[in-house]
Amino acid sequence: MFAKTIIIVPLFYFLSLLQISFLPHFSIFGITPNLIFVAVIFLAFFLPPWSVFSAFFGGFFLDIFSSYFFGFNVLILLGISLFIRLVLKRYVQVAF
Amino acid sequence: MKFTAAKRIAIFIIIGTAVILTLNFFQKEAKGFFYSSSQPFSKMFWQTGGKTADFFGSFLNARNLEKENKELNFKIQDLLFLQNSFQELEKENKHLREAMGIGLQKEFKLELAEIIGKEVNNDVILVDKGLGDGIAKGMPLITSQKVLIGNVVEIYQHYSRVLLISDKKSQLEVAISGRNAAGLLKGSGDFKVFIDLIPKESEIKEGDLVAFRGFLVGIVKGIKRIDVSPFQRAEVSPFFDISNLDKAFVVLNF
Repeated sequence: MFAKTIIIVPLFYFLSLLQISFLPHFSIFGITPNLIFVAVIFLAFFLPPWSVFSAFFGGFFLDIFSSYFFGFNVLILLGISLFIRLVLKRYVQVAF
Repeated sequence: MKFTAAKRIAIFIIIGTAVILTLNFFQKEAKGFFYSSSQPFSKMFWQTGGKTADFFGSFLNARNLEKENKELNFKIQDLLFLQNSFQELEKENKHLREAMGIGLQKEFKLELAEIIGKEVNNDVILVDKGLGDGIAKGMPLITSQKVLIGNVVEIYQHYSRVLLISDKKSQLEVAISGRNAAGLLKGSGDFKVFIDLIPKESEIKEGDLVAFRGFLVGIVKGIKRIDVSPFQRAEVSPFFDISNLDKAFVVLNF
């Protein structure tokens, strides 16, 4: 858990800075892709044990740089990652 | 006592969410701390993003085209502002003759602010000036060409949030220059704006200039008239372009 936090916190902090300061320059028809959202979904699919931590810290950093209350994005991202986790666990089988 | 992975995750979620929700009581301090510590990186990313976008823009179009276009846009905005000022002055002159003169044209007291970020879901930007610099709620943010960008909605000690005119929450009463018409400028998100509640009797045309108390807003690019409605609606192409902007001015004596 400690190792995950050590990697995830700086990673999502960096992604949130990119999201608010770098990506607005590259909007297509006014729409900017949400890097944190993409990263959380990616981790939920390919690294399920990391999904909850990534959703938590990703949401936290999104909340910091938005005018919403603390917890808004945390709850949304946690909900999405838990849902993906549940679907993968119950309905998806990967054959090796 | 041993915890299973699921239990550990549940405990983490409960404690983590409780801690984060508690942070709402210290929202200004917590956000202020993160903005302060992130400022150098945010500024660097914002400037690098602007330069990279410029580079790719010019690379895709043609050499120097982007720069030339920007300069021409500035010139057009300057000229439009002059045109607007002349029209206003003409009206003012008439009133002055009647009222035997009034005070000099109001000069603006400005504070230079750097843009350091934009919110993900809203048309809201963050600038590096706040309470400590004399910024107050409602003050407008403009470019050097007197183009209105938005107004301050939330203030921290050294930072402020600016609601762009294109945000869905933004509403301003604007005038259409030379037409004696007014309407309510509303944002529709994604840097798009329109004017609502323009009386049907007002004759407006594409290319008309939209202004807000002497500041430029944009140009009318499309008009929608509905027979049953007493009002008409106009799509507006705003002058500000956030991707090419890293500095702006807060009007302190508005």
